[in-house]
Amino acid sequence: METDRPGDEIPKDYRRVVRYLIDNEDWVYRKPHGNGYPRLLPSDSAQKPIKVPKTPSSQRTYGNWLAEIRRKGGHWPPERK
Amino acid sequence: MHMDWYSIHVEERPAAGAVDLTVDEHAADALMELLAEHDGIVSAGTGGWDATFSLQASSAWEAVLLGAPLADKLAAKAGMPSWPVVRAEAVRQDVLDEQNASPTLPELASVPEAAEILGVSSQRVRELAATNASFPEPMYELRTGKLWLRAAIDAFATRTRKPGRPPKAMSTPLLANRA
Repeated sequence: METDRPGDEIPKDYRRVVRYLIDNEDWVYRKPHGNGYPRLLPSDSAQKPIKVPKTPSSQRTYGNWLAEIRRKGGHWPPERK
Repeated sequence: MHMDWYSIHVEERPAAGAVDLTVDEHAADALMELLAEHDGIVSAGTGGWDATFSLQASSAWEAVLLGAPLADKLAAKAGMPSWPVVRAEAVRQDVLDEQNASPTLPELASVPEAAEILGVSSQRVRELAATNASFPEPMYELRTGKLWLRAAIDAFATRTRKPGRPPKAMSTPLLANRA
């Protein structure tokens, strides 16, 4: 499936994760229509698309977003320890 | 009373037999807006939606008891379908942060890495995998070779390591078995 590339419409820390997921794990990113939120579609199509915050947000928001990505099969951080 | 931050995850799905399974994208965006002050994230698609957000509570129990109705209330305000809650979980925010910091991919070991862990040759690892019933099953078998969970190889090494100093000529009992 064709994916959009993330740009300035989302904050930098989110962009880094989105880029990793679309480049390495076959996730798909969709830029918003109008004022809506961008969406990140998991490679497992049974999982629901996750909204991506558009403005810099709290550390808690970022943590909740990462938890949602991991819950839906995404891997972050990618490095092995 | 001591309060901590908790991350709440609420999932709603249509009841069995429901006809309309769609979630309006604008409603999901509206819920994302409403949850912004609670550090919220929304996932929505056909057949369900979920929200992950934060609030302060004195315990995980209280966080769920406060969080689930809050999600329901804001979802109704946003125009989301009113479906039954099928999951409500709370985790203290620092515990979630700790989980998020650890890689989700398990650490794997190929033949050369397993050989290094066990202190034997790569050939010996292949022999053990083929002949020793207690050797771990590989997690993956690729065209380039087998991959094991590193923890399984570590556990095998611990199981088969005899106590005491290894003999000078042969560093581990696994090598001794090779003769």
